[in-house]
Amino acid sequence: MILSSIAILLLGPLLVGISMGLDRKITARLQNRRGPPLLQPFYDIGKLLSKQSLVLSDLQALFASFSLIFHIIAFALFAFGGNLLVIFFISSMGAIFLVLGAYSTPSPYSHLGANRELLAMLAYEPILFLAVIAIGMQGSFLVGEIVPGLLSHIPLILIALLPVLVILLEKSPFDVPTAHQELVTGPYVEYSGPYLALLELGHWYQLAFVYGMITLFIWGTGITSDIILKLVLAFILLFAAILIDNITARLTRKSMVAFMLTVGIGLIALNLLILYIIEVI
Amino acid sequence: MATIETAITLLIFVPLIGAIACLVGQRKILKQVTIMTAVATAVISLILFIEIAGQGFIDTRIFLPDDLGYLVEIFGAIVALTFLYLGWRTRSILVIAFSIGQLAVLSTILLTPGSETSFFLIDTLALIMVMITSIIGSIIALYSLTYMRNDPRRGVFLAVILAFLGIMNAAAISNDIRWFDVFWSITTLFSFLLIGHTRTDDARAAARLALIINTGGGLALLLGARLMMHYHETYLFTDLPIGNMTGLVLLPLAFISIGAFTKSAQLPFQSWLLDAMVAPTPVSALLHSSTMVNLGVFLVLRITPSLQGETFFSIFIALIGGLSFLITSILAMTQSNAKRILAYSTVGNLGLIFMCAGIGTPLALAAAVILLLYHAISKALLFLAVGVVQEGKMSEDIEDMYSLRRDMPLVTLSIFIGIATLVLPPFGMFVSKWLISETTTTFPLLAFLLAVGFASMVVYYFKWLGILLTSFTGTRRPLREDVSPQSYRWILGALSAGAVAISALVGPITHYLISPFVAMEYELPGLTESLSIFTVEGEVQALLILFLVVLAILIISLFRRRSRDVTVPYGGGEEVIFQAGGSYYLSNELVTKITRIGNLIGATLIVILVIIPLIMEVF
Amino acid sequence: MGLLDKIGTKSPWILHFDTGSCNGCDLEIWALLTPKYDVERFGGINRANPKQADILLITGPVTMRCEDRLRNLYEQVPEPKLVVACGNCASTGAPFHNCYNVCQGVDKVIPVDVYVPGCAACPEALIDGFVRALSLWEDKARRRESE
Repeated sequence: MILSSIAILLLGPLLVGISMGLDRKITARLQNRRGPPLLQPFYDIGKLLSKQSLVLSDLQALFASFSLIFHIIAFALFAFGGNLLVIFFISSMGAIFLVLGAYSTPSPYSHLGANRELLAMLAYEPILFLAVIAIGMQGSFLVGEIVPGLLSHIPLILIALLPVLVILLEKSPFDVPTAHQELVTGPYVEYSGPYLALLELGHWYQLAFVYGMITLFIWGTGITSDIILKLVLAFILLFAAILIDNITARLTRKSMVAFMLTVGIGLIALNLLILYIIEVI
Repeated sequence: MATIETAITLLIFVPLIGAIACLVGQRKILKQVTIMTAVATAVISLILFIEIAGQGFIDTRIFLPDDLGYLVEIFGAIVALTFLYLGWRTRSILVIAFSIGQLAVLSTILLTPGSETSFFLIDTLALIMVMITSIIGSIIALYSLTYMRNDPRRGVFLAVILAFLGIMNAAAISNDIRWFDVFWSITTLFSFLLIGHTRTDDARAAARLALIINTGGGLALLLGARLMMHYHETYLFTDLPIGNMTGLVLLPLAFISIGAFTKSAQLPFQSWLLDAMVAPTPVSALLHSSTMVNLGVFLVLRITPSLQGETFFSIFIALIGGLSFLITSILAMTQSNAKRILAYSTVGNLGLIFMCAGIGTPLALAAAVILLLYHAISKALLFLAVGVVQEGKMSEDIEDMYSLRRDMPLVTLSIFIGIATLVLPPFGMFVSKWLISETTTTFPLLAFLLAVGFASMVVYYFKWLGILLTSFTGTRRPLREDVSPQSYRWILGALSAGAVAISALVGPITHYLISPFVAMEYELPGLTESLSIFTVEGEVQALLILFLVVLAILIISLFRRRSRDVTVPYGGGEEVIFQAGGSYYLSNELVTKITRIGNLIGATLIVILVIIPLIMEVF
Repeated sequence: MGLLDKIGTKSPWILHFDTGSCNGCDLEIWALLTPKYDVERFGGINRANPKQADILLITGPVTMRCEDRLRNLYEQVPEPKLVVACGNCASTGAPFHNCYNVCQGVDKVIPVDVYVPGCAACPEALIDGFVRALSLWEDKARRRESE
């Protein structure tokens, strides 16, 4: 039991790490480059851990660890079939501590990045929240009790989750908070070495939760086909995000929020409306 | 039983006597009187709580002699006459009209006395209200002792605040709507006095606005009371029929809800509470957290049992609440004045309570009561902390609070705790947020309001907190060397500790206090879902903790090895001289526009609320 | 920590700083990141942030104006760090030797690990310098731990 739970907790970020490597590889291939090895994200984390820890303030380090811990709790609850709403709130807490960590330094880039990260949260949190509510409306909020058939009932919500994934993967056109050309790396700018590794790991756990939510949409008949279908679905969304990243330029923060709050919420509203009409008829 | 009666009597009269002593006593005894009154009120409320807890939180009824009823109603008429006078003094036609209307309705109420004996009802909701008022209100009274130390009219100020507490206690336990209305009107009068205390032009205008809206609300409440007699032949909340009402019998409830909306400053009546920010900070804290605005939600929670089964009517109450939450959360993002942000957030949180009351499932009602309790303590803490900052920095603007951590670590910690308990899991408010979210599956429309509202809430609170926490590379004071005055530090420390303690106790409080209350009072099934925070098997929790401990050790060992080196902020090679600046996203015109749209929708919803019973009657 | 240090050589993040170069070498450095030479094969990406950089690619003869900036950036890079002076100017000051307004080479301001000559230094030479710098990484890391 202990071993299997630790295995699950490690498996999540492991898969996400590989997906990040895949992401870089595919991006490189799309740009006609050879690209880094598949395990590159793990090398990056390892290197960051071996570096000197330079900080601006004591809070910075504390908040980075908090961010990681809350993302881990969120993912652990997800892996063990907890309540999706609770997981969502705890996961957003991890994001909040990233913002607070960025704010705790007297650095203009960091503050701008934090402001924008909050805006990004304003853009993606409503969609995630509504997706959770929509999943809950299909039966249960408990991950362990979710019934198959989400894809046929709420397919538009899966589509609405795609821009959320784009924001969380820090990809164009919604890489507004990190904006590496103008804000260096936004909220991460003042982090270096091990603390950056903590934030990066936290980010992986956050993505693991979101990918996990995406995999809830599809169910296979047997355990093998189940796992394969889930992986394929997650990969399709990732690939779509990479494609979008490579063919678009960054939008302004205003258009990001406007897009998410109109198109994203609109998709979810449309889906729920259709479900309601079908039910009435 | 006798203890409860004595305690209740004392809770009403001790603050009133203290108020009179403040008013007539000499300046030098002010301090002793206030401290004694505040401490006594808080202690008595604790005794009351322990006594009622000892009996297992059963309802207590204290029957009152009929003659007292007439006395109270005559007092109500006197208050209405005072409004008339104030209307003439402030040159406000509306107040005059409202107070004449109140007098007219009062006279018809006097002509149709109810048949049953009125009584005070001390159930869990009333108990929570009394505790909030007595303890948090007393702390605010103590705080204003220091805050108003240079005010020449400090005696009057303290007297009104103390009297406010006594009246609030009386209102919270009134089961008879006539009594309730009298105390309600007195709080309107007191808030008028408190808001206008500084006698500047702004303050006068704000006080006048508060008077107009609240006398209007008072009129709505009285009309509701009169109609309640007409349709249900009772003045008692407990005698209202439970559930499945349709048609004109809903009309009194519509008017009572409108009264509640004005008092709790829901859209489109929110302007008085926002303008009331010109008053000294203790007034804001008192109005926002422990008294005044709570009366509105309290009233709606009292009539919720009658709304069961009639979702078409109650959904509009929920919609007005949800709308208020959404609009104020968006507007709060555009503000840079800390008190104004808090004011918007108060309106929003009360909107959430209205929403829960409108949804009316057991989970929603539990969420409403939890929200009422936790909002009060956290909001009081935040307001008082902002008051301290305002005194130290001479500004309420969040941009002037840049790096507050350096000078006022304790105040910053208080604000941190206040915000954390209001927003973050696993604190009390989180539980209520969670419950509200779960209940919206029945009304998905509300989920959309919530989704954007919650996200905006995160934005405006953490933008502010971030500026406070920005560290300065220079030396920093340790926690105990905060520059704010000693008495403030004690008060903030106590409130912070209280907020954390009560947040940690959210499990037991929900389980022992609120869940049985919802089951009993509203005749609904109790909370069948267990409220354990993590809803997974115990062993998994244990494993989780184990994993975290391992991780914590890992992290500590990782950072132990090398000492942390301090560096400078990145500025492209330049030395950075940094002053935090805000992002407020929306232009002033857009803010006005959003407010106007919100008010319009709110007003429409309220009109619909009144029309619905008529339509139901016709069809 | 031997393993982590070994991994460190697989993920060198770059900070490129122009201290008054003619942009010749800068163009060649950008060529490293583009498809033909693709230095991301070795895990190298341009972070543009000293806090997260491992290798500093410095071009230009270091003008007086740039001196403080260069030092400021260098100090923000966490240990272990490597400095590659790219091109003749960065290595020695070359055509600006004895000029009144330049420091004549990066090594007058901060310690340099690898010099890549050339005007402009060609991408192949830069990659060579880059890889040689990485071979010093483990050494540096070990030295830092013993200190």
